[in-house]
Amino acid sequence: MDDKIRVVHYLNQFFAQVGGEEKGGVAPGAKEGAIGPGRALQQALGEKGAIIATIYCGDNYFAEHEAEATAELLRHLFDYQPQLLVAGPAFEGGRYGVACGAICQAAQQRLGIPTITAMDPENPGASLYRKNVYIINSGDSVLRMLPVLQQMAALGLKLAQGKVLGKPKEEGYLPRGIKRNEFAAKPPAERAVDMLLAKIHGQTFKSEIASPKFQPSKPAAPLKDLASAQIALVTDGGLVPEGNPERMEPGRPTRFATIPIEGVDRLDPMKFDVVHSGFDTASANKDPHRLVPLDIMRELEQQGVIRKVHENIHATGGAHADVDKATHIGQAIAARLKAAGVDGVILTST
Amino acid sequence: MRLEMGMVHIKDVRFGASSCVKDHVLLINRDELISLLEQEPLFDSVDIELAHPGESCRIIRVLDILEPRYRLNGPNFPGALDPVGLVGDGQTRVLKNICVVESGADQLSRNIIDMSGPATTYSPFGDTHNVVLVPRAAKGVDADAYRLAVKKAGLRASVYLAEATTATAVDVTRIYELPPTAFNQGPKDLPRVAYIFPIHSHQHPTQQTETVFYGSNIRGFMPTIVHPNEIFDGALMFSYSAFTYFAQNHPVIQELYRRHQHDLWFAGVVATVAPVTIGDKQRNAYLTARLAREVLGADGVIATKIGGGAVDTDLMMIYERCEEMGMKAALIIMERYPDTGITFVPPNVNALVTPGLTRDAVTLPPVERVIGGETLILDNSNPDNSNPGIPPISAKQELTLWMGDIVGAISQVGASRLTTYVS
Repeated sequence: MDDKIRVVHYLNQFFAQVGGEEKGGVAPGAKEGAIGPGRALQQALGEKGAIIATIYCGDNYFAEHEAEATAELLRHLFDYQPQLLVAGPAFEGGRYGVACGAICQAAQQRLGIPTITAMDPENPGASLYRKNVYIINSGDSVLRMLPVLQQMAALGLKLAQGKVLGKPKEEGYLPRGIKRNEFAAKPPAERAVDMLLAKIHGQTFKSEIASPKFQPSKPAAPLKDLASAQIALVTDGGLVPEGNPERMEPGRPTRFATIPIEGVDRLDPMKFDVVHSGFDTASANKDPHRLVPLDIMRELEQQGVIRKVHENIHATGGAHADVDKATHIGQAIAARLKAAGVDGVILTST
Repeated sequence: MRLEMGMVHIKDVRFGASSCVKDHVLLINRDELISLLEQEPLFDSVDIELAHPGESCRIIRVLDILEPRYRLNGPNFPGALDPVGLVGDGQTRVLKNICVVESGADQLSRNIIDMSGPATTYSPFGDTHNVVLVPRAAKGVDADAYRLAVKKAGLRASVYLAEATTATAVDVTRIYELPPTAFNQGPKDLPRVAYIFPIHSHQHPTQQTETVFYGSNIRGFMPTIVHPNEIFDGALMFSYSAFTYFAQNHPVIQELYRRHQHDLWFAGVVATVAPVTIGDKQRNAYLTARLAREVLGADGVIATKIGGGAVDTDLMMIYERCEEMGMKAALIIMERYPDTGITFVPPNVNALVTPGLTRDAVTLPPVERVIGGETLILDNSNPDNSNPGIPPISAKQELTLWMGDIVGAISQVGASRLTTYVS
């Protein structure tokens, strides 16, 4: 018993045999041992793992009180000290899928427990958590319960033993969108010529890199009256005050710099630096206005063309940016500007 | 134009009384080579060390790599080493299985070669006998000037070593020959394929005295037709982001030659650069595509890049202009981060090949000997390795670094043993 991997299983109120839809509001709880599908999971784990407890929560309760439910479930997990958390499978149950993903991610990040869950790729929980959690493609039919539990047991044991997983197709998990290297049968130059000739001859071929998918964004309506507008300056070209006190990264940014310019008419090159790993910063360092045109904006302000230049320049270093982090940086800057009543923004890039 | 490359296979390299090849063993007169390289006034001294396949040895701070070559009937690296002239025709002596490796003193360089262990499964340079040059800068020498001097020392050593073999019989002769484009029609049923080759990205400008193409610093370089043989034969040395070995053994040009007259007709090469302003980028993309279509008569193009993410935009513009003009296009484009992918990919771009992902962690075991320095700075959290205050570590110890740090594992011009998958 001692050398078996200690497993905790998460289920919703239905599979934990608390009750059906009418019990969806039930708060988190825990019971010793395996329940419902947990019995088949225990069989699949065999001699290698033991389900020491089942934790559960009503789907509605989790959806309505995610933070409290997660905290309570983590407390149970902490008490049981498992080496693996198995959640679900949730199949096409949307609220159940989201709960499985959330508790897995929290268990990994806060308690360092390896986790495995399973759901249909269309389940909203899959798109929310697939990047950080291994999710087995269960399909949408509960009829596949047994083979899915067997897959979860196999993959879960590997993760608990610290083994490196193979490719999504071989192991059955949903691709997380994380690229890895592998050896290729032919060198890239040969593959490129093969691909080109297939394209020329109208044969099928498959690009090795997929196009990124971006959230579409709707352009704001044009400003009606520039003379009453407050305009902000924002750049991803890496402008920072001399010495870079906020330690903004020259590339791969996770943060942005806030540069107060109230009462500042010109960006003195001695008082500013440009840190950016993706372009030659010599001319921007010599005259920061060629990166952020405060000089022209002050003139327009004096002429009354615009009402006001916003009191801060926001800057980040856009080289090699992670799209998720860059999105967060953009949202944070936009929220600040919106709260400050800014009407328009001039974005300068490099 | 016809280039005959006479290959001499080298199975070992040692220091000896005079530089020559005997029974496939390269002997090097160390003192003679050192005094040749020490003629450079920017150097205080030059060390030469040998690194052999299988040794527990690590070469660090690698700046550039060359395959030793000597042209029997013309200048070597004209404009960069010899006076201006032409290359790509006549006879060139090539030493195979041996490389000249330059180790510069850039403390932040992460470029390493391991002569044994897992790195050798990714890079060809753990399997070659490497003649490593370690020049030390004289006091007060400017870092950029020193870097250029180290690169020139590499050319000099490469030519010196190959010149020592002119009396040796060659093992294999490889012929590279393409007639002038006007006579280079080919049968109608073979697609004409051109290679579009941006040789540099000006996001990191060349030095005024830097010799990239026929001795030019290529500032203001416009798209132009070059003969593929010129790329092999010493017209080009890369400024950064690629090793000159891969110009001398250009994987795409070699592949197009290999398949020429079989399943394609090699229509030629357009060389260009990635400029820094939008207008220049657009103009170069237009002119590049126009040359490929209307001068080379290409039905399809392969394009690669040199440089950082900024060049992705140039590559995508070239792709779009080529397809607008009725050509098919495929790109080789390196991936940098596991979670970011390639940001600039227009929706109609559907033919990308990856030579690998640079920021994929690799752990290399400790080694007994290090050439090129004693310590390394490895800051895996920073793309430039430039965060201040990162303490140096012993270069002998176990290292966790990126695939892109292993010299030769991933080349932007299409040499690697890798591809990627989504996990």
